[in-house]
Amino acid sequence: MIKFKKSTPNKDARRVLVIDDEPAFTRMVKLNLEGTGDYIVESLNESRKAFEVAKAFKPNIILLDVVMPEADGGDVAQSLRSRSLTQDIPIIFVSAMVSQEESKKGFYQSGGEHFLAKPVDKDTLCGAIETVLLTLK
Amino acid sequence: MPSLKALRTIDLEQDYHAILIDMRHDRDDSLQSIHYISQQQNKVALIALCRDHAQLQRYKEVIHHLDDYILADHLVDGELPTRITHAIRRRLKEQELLHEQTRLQSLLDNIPDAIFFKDRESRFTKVNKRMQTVYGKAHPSLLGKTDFDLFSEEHAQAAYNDEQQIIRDGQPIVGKLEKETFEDGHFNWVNTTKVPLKDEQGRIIGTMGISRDITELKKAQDTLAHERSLLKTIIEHALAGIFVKDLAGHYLVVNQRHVKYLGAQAEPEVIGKTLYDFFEQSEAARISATDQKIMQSGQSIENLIDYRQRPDGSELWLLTSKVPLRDELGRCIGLVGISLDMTEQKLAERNLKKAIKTLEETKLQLIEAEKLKTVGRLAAGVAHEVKNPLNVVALGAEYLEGQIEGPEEMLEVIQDMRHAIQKANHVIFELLDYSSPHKVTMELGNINEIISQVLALMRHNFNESCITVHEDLSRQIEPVKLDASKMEQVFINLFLNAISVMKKGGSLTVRTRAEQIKSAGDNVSSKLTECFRIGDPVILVEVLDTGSGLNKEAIQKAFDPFYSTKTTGEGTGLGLSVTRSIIEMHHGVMTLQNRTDTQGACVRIWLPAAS
Ligand SMILES: Nc1ncnc2c1ncn2[C@@H]1O[C@H](COP(=O)(O)OP(=O)(O)OP(=O)(O)O)[C@@H](O)[C@H]1O
Ligand SMILES: [Mg+2]
Repeated sequence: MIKFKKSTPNKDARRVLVIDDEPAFTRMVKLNLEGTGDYIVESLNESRKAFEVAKAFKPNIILLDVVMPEADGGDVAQSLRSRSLTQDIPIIFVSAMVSQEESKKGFYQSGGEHFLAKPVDKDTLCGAIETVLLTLK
Repeated sequence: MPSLKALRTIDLEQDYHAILIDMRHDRDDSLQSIHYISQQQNKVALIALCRDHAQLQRYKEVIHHLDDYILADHLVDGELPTRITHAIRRRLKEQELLHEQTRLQSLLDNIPDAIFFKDRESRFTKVNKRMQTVYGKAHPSLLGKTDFDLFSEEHAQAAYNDEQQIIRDGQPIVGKLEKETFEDGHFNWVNTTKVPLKDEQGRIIGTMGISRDITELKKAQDTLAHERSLLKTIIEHALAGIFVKDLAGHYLVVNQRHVKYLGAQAEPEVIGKTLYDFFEQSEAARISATDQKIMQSGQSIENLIDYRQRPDGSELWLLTSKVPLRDELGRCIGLVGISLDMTEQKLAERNLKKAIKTLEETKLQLIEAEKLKTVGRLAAGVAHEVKNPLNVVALGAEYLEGQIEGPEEMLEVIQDMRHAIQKANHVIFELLDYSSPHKVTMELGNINEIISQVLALMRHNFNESCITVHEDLSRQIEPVKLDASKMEQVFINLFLNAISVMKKGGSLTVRTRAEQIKSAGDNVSSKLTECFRIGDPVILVEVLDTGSGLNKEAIQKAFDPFYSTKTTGEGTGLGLSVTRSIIEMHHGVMTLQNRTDTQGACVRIWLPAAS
């Protein structure tokens, strides 16, 4: 008999929107982040709907996959940043196409943007979100 | 006494020594008989018998035809036979003299040489026919003329001087070669002998001489000499060795080039010698057997390739042709040979073969390398593709681990999964790094610091395997331009390799030195001389372990991508390959060898010191 830990979100849990074409990935991120109780996560697999979902969900931060078949990370970020409703939401790009060094660091900055390198683990994920949100305050 | 009629019928010469004509009776045909006999010009002595002086006077006109006359009135007893004998003897003498003279004249007239007699003033007093025809074209008679009338001043004067000297000294000039230049400019070559001409008392009254025209001979000689010198020039300057040997194998002719082929210095060392003076017994016997065959069979050989060793041990390849040498009668009297030095071609041929072989090998290596490149690129693509699903698994496992409290076995399963994922991640990193284009950021840094940092980072890895670390870092080392993170990776790879061969303990030595490239081949591959010049300042880094060392195969292949003696999952075999390309990015050279002082491996890295 498997025993699960109980976890309910905190009152001041942060709202995170994860955009990735791979449903398994978004699900895993959602499960891991929500498992901590510190986050409420919304998954999105169709990058085209990014603005509508963001508008409705009102995330504190967006995790955005760089390589996607529909509209890639760069396009999505540009469209979000061009509209007043979403322009202030910080974005962390998530990418598999990085070098070993970048991969080793996991979370890094490049050209004023924040990046997370795949494969990513829960601690790095949380660390990155916290760092970015902290710098905004 | 036979009549004139009867006289005519007999052969005077044959049958008689003397004829005694009795003139005492004044017969008519006596005179006619004397005339007839004298006309015969023979050896028969003619004697007239007269009564007295008065009668003899009457035959005055024929008296000179008589060899003697006898006056009957004065004849003393027993005188007659003596007189006849004397007459016969005189007649014979006269006849001989006549003959002699005729012979001499005929000699003078028929000899093809010019013969002349001159007086003390070098005027011609007598010349033979030949002389007259050759030199007398412009002069109906040469008598009284001198050389000055016939020849150019120059020649005439020389001849005159010679003649005057002969007259003074009485010494002949024998066989002198003279160039007779005529006034019209044409010339003859003559061989002249001049001797003093003496009278009966032995006084020198002039000169006589004989000269033979040898113009044709001289021409032939000159042609021969010219041909000879031409031949000599050709032989001496030919780009081949040329030699002539007699039947016994003695060198008769040899040019400088062939002298060198024989290992001698100059021609005199070779002439008269045989092969046995220059080669070992067996070698000389082998060559001279070929020579003998050529001379016996009369068959020449062409383009025989012959290998020899020079006295200094260097190789000599000759392409030799030999032809039998024959005399005028066609008999073989030796052989002529010509040898071309083929050594360079031979060596070039050999190098070419070697080069072709190396090329073949290189081709295979290239194909191999190309394959690896493709594999590398494919691997990179695959790695990216694998990253996503792997991340899903990783995050899933992590989630489960965080969510599940039990049972214990389930947690262990999840942990095993996470370890496996980590290993897979590691492989992906290595593959990616191997195939990713190398971006380098070069900044001034100290190699010693990098080494110390990496050693500190890996301290616990060393401790775990009970490895003692010796740092022997030179203070002389100046900062050089390097990519610090790539350099770190170099030492991480090297130290990991060392640790993996010293799992049960050992010692690791890291040494740095500031050096200058001394000379080529300094125990290092030719790569070092390709990258550096003698005198270049370099930094030498050595990493020495006390592990297993390398076997032959490992020494050859250690740097090959994917070559690994570790079990799958333990190592991908990319470590050294990446390490070397990082060193090459820094314009350095790297080697991996076995240690000579003790068991273990030794990595050496030369980096150019900043100038
Ligand atoms: N210090 C050493 N002593 C003995 N053998 C060595 C040493 N370093 C390397 N080798 C040999 O060279 C091989 C290739 O080394 P390389 O570092 O390229 O690959 P690897 O260590 O097998 O795998 P990885 O990709 O994990 O580094 C090793 O498997 C080993 O056989
Ligand atoms: Mg290795």
